Amino acid sequence: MLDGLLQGFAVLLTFENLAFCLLGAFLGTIVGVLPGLGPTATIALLLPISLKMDVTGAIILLSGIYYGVAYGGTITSVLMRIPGEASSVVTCLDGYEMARKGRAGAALGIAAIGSFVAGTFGILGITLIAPLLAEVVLSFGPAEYAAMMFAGLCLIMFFAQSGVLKALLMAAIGLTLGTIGLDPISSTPRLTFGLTDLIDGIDIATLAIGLFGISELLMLARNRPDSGAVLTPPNRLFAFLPNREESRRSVMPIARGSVLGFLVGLLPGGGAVLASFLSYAIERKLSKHPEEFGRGAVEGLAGPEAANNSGTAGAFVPMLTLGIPSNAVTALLLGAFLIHGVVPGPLIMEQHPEVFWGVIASMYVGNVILVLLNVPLIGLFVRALDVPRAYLATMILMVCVIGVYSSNLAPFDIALTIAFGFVGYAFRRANYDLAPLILAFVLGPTFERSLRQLLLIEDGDLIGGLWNSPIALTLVTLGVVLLVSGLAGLGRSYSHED
Amino acid sequence: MIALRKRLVPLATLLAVAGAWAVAGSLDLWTIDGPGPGLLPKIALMVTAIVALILLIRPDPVPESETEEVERYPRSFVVYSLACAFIAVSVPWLGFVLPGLVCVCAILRFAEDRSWFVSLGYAVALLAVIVLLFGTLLNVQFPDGPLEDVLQSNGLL
Repeated sequence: MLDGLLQGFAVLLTFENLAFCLLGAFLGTIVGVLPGLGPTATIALLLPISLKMDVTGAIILLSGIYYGVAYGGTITSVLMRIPGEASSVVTCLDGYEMARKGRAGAALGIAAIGSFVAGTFGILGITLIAPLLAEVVLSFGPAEYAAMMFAGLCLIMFFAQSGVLKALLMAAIGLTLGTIGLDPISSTPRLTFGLTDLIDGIDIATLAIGLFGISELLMLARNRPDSGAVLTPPNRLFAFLPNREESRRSVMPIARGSVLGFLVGLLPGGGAVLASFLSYAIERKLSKHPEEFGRGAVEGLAGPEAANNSGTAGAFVPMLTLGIPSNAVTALLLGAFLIHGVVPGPLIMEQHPEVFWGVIASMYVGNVILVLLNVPLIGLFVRALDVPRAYLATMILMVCVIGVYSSNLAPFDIALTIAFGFVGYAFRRANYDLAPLILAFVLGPTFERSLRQLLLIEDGDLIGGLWNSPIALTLVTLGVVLLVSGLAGLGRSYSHED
Repeated sequence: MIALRKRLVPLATLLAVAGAWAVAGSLDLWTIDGPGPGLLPKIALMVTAIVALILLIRPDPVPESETEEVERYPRSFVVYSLACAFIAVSVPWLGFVLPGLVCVCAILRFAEDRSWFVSLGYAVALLAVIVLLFGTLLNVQFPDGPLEDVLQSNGLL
């Protein structure tokens, strides 16, 4: 493990990879600051561009954006009460109230320290757990793989913000889209409608840019969020230091948030958003003064900020070692690996150790870069909010178009992306969570391959195949229980409404 | 009106599933070699249809959320939509740069109420940066078009 990590640092410590790490962290912070433009849309936009890069550099850049966003989102949450991205929503509650009481610097400082500690804890967790998990997964056969994918999808649906039924619809659509193109076994064209452009299937960049990039643009075009007033950030470094009382009150929430966030991040459907909400609820429950929550409680800021960052790190574990993304962003990162011909999973450490350990090493360095960037440059990041929507939106559109074209040099892909953009817009307007769709799309081919292998081995006896594997049986049972309990919960809400 | 809007997505999904089923209908569920190419597409389409039907009959009771205070700009949305559609249709014939210029200029002028001068100036500047960054520096191939030919002859693409 230590050898691997040293190899990772050797890979990272080149001018090019360090520059990608810095650029990723910087872009991530900017994206986190800008409300609307989230990490999913940004990574989707950069997917085709990453094709021109070396795989390690590409993943270092995209990962940097992902964990950088968690830092950037804090700034606007504390200074403007506007969450730059979803996982910073909770930070608004107490961070902004602290800023209103004249403790903006301390709030940003606690958030930065908590994020750094938790981020480092999360990366240590990846370093220790990922190799162990990969060894366990190496013994898995088609039954366990198919069951793992099924349980992962069920977990994602269970945690979906839009409810299980809508998430189930999205996942089913994602699975269907994933089957378009030539059947990998019999080479029969499937759902191509006679179009030769669809023979190779739908590219992940085409789908992701449409669903997240173009639909975001259309949402921006329709809705103009209130910009709100910005509380002035401190201009002296000393002002970012919390006082003794604030430091004392933030230690345990940061520790709890780090552990909780990492564990939640490991779950498919978990990640930073769920981790930050859970941490807030726990801190409130444990507090001797729960009435202070929402009025500037240090614990309400420190815990969720830590959980948010270690959750982001934790989400890398299932993606790297199992090939199962936890959320939409890690699904796109998985897509980035796949378009470079690197298959994340238990063998990644043997087949591409330079990529695996290089990315891990970049996360250690990226975390340090983010603290060094964020504290002195807060004023600069806040100014990113001054960029008029018109200029940002048209830039996004043009980058989307050329990005999609560059993937396969096919004008058809541009039309498909625009179409997916309108579809994504319609789904978002109707409160459908797009994460299950993209996750099912990414997991679909592996799920199908494992399922068909299992059926082939067991001569069509699916139940018998699952029965022979206790792990698979447990995972499928877990998935079914989650799905049924989610649907039953929905049923109850219907009857309650009635 | 809201109930109708909530039913639009499941309704459109059902229509799409009907179209997809017409294509997938001929795919085998099982062949002599084992599970056929139609297995997963048909299962996925069935689940999609059933869930869409449930949502059509009994739409989600949760009200459409508007978490942020926002102003509505329907004109802006229409212009952006038309610009997107235009670029999708025109790229195969006109390349990227010319439709890009038209789109950016139209969006700024008609959706964002910028002056013609600013709109045109920004459109030219943005496209110039994209050509230099993607075409010249990253060697990204651009779709064929009249302006691309000119840029290519000048060594910029």
